[in-house]
Amino acid sequence: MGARQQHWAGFFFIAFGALAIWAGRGLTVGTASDMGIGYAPRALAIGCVGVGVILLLQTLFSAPVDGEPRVSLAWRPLVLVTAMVLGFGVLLPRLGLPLTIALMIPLAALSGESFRWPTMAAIAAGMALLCTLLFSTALKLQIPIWPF
Amino acid sequence: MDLFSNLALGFGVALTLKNLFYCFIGALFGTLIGVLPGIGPLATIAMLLPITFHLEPTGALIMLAGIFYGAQYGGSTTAILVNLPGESSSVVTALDGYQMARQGRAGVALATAALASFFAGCVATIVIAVAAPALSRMALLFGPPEFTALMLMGLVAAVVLATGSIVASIGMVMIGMLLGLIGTDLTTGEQRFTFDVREIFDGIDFVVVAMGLFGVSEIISNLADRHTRELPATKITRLLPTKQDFLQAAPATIRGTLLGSILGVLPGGGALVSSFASYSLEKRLATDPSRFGKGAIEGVAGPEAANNAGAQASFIPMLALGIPPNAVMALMIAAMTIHGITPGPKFLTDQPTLFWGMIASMWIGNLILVVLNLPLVGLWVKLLKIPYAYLFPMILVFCCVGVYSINYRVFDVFLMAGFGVFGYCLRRIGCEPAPLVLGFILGPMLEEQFRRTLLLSDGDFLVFVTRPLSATLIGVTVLLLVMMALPTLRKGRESAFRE
Repeated sequence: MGARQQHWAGFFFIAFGALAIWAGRGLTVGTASDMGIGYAPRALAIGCVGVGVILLLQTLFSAPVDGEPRVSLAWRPLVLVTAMVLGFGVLLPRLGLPLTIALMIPLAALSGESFRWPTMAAIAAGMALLCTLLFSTALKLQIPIWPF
Repeated sequence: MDLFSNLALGFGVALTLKNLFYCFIGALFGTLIGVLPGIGPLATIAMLLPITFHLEPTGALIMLAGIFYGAQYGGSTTAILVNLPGESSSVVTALDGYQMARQGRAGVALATAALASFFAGCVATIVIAVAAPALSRMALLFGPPEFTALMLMGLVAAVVLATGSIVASIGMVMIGMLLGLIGTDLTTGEQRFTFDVREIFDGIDFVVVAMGLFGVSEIISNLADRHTRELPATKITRLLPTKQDFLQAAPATIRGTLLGSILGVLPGGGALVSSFASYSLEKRLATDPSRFGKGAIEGVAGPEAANNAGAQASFIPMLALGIPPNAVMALMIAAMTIHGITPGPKFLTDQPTLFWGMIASMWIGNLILVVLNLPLVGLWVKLLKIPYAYLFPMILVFCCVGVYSINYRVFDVFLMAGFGVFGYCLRRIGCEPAPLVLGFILGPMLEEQFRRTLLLSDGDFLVFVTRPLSATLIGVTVLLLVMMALPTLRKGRESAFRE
């Protein structure tokens, strides 16, 4: 873990712990001999904050390494993959499995990887057919198939 | 003898035509997905889980076990052929295996890996058959304090043996436990952290978490890295090792198997640690250590045997105690729960046919893999040539269908997308999600045992150290933590992982 990463990780753990303390504020904590449902969550949340504090303190004493890349997110794949999964969830109950798959796969064209359209179309059609036959016909999973 | 009659019972179950078929399908699909780079065994099992849904429990477990070895196995094939370890435990195999392939000995390397794995699998199967019943008999003596201490030790050991910052890993375990506590509390019936979202009143499904953190987020990472893949130029001609190869590989295989069988049982152990340990052992024992990294056959045989033995031995604590030693076993527990089976001390005595059938099928699965893989190597290589632009949407579709079909609701698909983003961000800030998954499964169990312990002792924390068994376990846990706080040992751990 690099120093920059550790910085972010420290803040993340503190934020997560604080969120858990806030979200669990209404839960009964109780005592050790008579634990309420809030006992373990409170202990763990405080532990999270503790971990975050330790990580931040550690960064104070370790010299930052030169040339360590900034912590960044690859937005394009992040947004694309998330959109594809969400799209599956939105379309499945409305369009049924084969159409959803056939629409979802070509989105991969936006990934920036090299590909050819005819192959992509063939894969979309093939996967739509294969998944329908495998999951619905053969395995008999209760997945919507038709758009109506 | 008891052992033999039990194994006979197991083979009786596993050798039925139907179960052989499930074992075969599991091994085949496991290898198929395991070969693909960037998808480890965890994501593979999670993805293929829905195809076991409609089976009866025995068949489903046999297929899942088959998927598990298949995925392990596929990883080493790509490690040798294209220097791309399909999963972390074959990283070591790539060191010498790929060099052998470049010297035109790809076939020999593949055969060595296959045979070493097979040997290790056979031994590990017997180790499970002996150790699991013994361990579960011991576990019947365990009370809540012992189980609490055991789980604590398991979590700490898992953190210590994992790569990366220990403090951050402990934090990840705690986040996992917090996420695991979401839902309705079983003792009081009250809800925790549900925010009035009805879909999570029963808690978040483990498969959703695993698939998001390992399936979806790995795809995002892979696309971000845009690795150019080297295609195998070597033709596979000769498969059989020479007599000299055999003499060099055989002792390494035996040592690797022993190492894996021991390390696999330890919490946090399993395939990864075993293969690293075996590689450094072989290097230390070799008369000419400089051969390593340049195509030494021991460097393939030892770690391959060790990772297979380790992977299989990690079934022991999972089956006998119901406590997963690593993330993959946590997923196996979740999969068994879907089929209404709770692993633990009573599993063996309550469901002997299921338990012994599964053990026997492990041996058969290993055999199938050898038979299946050596002739089909050409097919796996072709699979590697599929551009990622075609591959990742297909994997994504399988993830989506898989998650949807657990409860037949799209909410889980959305949740998986969320965990995918979460997992990717965690990776970017240097936090590996594997400890989170372990905490997620162990969290609710740990809370229950902890609560029971302190209820019985009337809030007295000393109960953990006054009972000899739990005192020992707590002692080991503290020792592990102290060891890691010492700077010299911490450096040793870092260099062990860098090697």
